[in-house]
Amino acid sequence: MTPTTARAWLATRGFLAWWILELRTALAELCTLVAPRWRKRLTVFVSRARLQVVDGDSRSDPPVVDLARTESGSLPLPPLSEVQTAVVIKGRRAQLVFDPDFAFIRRLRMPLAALAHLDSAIELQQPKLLPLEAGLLSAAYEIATIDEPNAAIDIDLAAVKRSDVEPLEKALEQWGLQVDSMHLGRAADSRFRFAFATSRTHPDHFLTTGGDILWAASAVALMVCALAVWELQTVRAERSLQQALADTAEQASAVLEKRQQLTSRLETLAQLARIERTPTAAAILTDITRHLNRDVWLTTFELKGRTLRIVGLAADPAATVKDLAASTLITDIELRSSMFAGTNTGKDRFEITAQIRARI
Amino acid sequence: MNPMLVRRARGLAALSLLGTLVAIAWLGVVDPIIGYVQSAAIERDVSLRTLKRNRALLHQSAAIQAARASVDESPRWRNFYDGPRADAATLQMETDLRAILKDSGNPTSMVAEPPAQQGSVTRIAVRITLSVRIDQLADALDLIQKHDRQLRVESLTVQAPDFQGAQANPVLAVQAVVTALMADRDPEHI
Repeated sequence: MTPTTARAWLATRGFLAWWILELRTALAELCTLVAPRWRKRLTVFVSRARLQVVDGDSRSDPPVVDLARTESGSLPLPPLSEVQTAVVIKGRRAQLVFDPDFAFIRRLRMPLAALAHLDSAIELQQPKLLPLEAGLLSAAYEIATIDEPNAAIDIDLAAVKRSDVEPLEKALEQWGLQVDSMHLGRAADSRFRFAFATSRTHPDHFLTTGGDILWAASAVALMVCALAVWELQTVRAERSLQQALADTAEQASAVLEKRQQLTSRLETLAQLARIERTPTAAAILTDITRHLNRDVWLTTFELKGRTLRIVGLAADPAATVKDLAASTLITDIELRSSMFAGTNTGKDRFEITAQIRARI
Repeated sequence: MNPMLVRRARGLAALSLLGTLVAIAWLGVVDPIIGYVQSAAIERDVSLRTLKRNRALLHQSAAIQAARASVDESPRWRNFYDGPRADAATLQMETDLRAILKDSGNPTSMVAEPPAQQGSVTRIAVRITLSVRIDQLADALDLIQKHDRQLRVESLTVQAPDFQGAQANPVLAVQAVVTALMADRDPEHI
């Protein structure tokens, strides 16, 4: 691993740690705002002299439980009062924060190349670095600095005696708490250091037991199988659909063409029927003649499309219009002009226009 | 600076970052996946509709064939002049009109008008000029109306003299445009 990569890796790790911490804080504040009665994680501060239980991880809040420890390992813990029990309800999660006085902390230097396999590298070094047998200690480490020019990293290795930790952890579990993380720090510290393994969790691994891994692997396998089956079914359905479309397309296209031809031919016949429904010239001429008085003489009969124009001579053109109004074939009858035709006829010349009704 | 404010600012920055990350993940991953799934669903829906339509058409095939045969055998097709050549149909129409007007005296003139497409049919027309008496005109119009083909007097102008005797039967100047429809009886050409 190159120094630049190591630096980027560390920066990323540091950023992610900061981000997760801030998000957790924001989430806790949101929970306090939205559901004030929802229980947060407790923090148990342990020093040589005192044991303090704080609701949440706010160092400024007053402790809900504050016990004096007259001597190291004064266990079992006393029973809680009614008020304290209301806070320390069974099953509530807690983080255990030991005073740094409990821990043996040592800084060691390792080559930068070891960064990728730091866990196993430190595990190999532990027997030489720790004052007691490794089995009696619970150890954790943090990268302190990266010395790029010398291609080395400084690591802080911390170890606490299991005899200090485990009885306290068991006592807290007897209260009903679930200790899920363990750190070093004091109430005044801005952040707690190191992440020691507890009986419930391992700090550096997401999945702690073989059972967890099995469940997770089964879930992932099941999900992959479900996705594969879904995709397979989708592809099969799509293929069968396309096959059915291909099988029917040609015949359906031919039938559609025949249907369009049929529609076209029916439309042709319908056009003929529409024409037949309009009155014929013979019918109009006969109808006009029938409605005119015997003394009326037509000189022009002009039918163009739906417009009819007749010109003639009549003693009373207005009466002629009235007579024509009785026709069922024409409408909109108008007397356009009427003028005296001469004394020898005794009639008026008229011009009448009308519209042929669209349908009989 | 107020430490509470700084803490809030840090929290806000972390939340903004989370929001940005979620937005990027949504726009970069989730949204395209949803788009792909929706697009695939739409395509499938279109294909299913097409298949449904195809099957419905196949189901109707026999009925369409029967209707087609029934329409093709309709006697109404005799009312049309046969296509597809409009000039031949017009010529046939002129011959028919001459036969109709034979008893009324041959027309003074007969001029074919250019054919016009009207939907699925072609309108053919002939302009004729006649000098006939009123009874001959009535007979001619009656024969035109009763002709096998659907002949129609679309325009008719009749001019009579201004003055006449009481029992006179004057000669009338008649101009008419007679139209008919031409259809292609071969369905493949429609």
